[in-house]
Amino acid sequence: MTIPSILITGLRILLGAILFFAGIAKLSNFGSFVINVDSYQMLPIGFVKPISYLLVSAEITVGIVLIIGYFTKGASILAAVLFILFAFALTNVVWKEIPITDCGCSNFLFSLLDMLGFQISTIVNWKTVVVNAVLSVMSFGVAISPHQGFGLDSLMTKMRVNQ
Amino acid sequence: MHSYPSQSHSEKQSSSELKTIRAIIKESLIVCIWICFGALTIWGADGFGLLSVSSHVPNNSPLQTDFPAVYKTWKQKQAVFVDARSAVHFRRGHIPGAINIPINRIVMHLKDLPTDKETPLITYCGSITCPNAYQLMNVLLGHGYQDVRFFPSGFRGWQALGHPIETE
Repeated sequence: MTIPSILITGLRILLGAILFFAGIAKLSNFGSFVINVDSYQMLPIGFVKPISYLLVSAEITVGIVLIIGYFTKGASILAAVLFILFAFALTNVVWKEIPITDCGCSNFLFSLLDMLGFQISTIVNWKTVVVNAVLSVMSFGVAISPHQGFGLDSLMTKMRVNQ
Repeated sequence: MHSYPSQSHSEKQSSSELKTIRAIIKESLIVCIWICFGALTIWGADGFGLLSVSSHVPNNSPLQTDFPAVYKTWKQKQAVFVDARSAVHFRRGHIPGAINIPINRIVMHLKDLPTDKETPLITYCGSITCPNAYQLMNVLLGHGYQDVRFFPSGFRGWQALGHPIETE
């Protein structure tokens, strides 16, 4: 494996883990997540629960697929779309000064950045917008990278070549 | 003569790019289908409820109050109505006389509540899909208020029946 392949693999697993654990955290406290989605004041009340189901499912599914490295490019594009959506929703909150204290976007990356002194936490501000925008760029980078990295995709390609 | 090989190379390149884009779209669509299956599974686990109050809110709680009792209570000023929605929604319209305690800013607004812990309180939020009223009720019970109930139909239910509303 080359260094770029190792980097892409690491980045892909990191993004997958961020999404997967964020999804699991939301699923384990789904009621609070629905309240969080509603508090963004972007959706009519009838859409809040269906969108919450879709968001949680998207995070967990894309997270798993990225971690195992299956359908990597498609999943990376979807991850980028998810992070863009989050960044857009957070920008709306910051811009309109909607009083939300918890962004509902807690994940281990935010906890790690908090521990390193970046004071990201789950408070909605421009920092949370920037973090999501950076994650979106990273996901897009994984999608367009010519290096496949290590995962189910590369294993299946190798098996096909050997056959 | 030299242009032919380069043209064929660029054609090959564009054809391979097209293949990659097609592959990405195909992969994205497959993952989207999985996402929908996942969402359906979660929806199923939540009792296939879209317009019902979610599973963490009991449907027949003795602590809930609904029409016409709630209107009678309001008319006779027998309870203080507590709006659990955000300040923005509250300003746009609320049950007349209600006080606003957004679910995510409870601690800041506790001072707005009556000091007498025996005062009857009725919490409400946006509509029947919104669990904030139930959660706020539990928080207020936790703060020692002895007579707290929640109004599941919420502001939309109140508005739908043509009851008066107040804006700021």
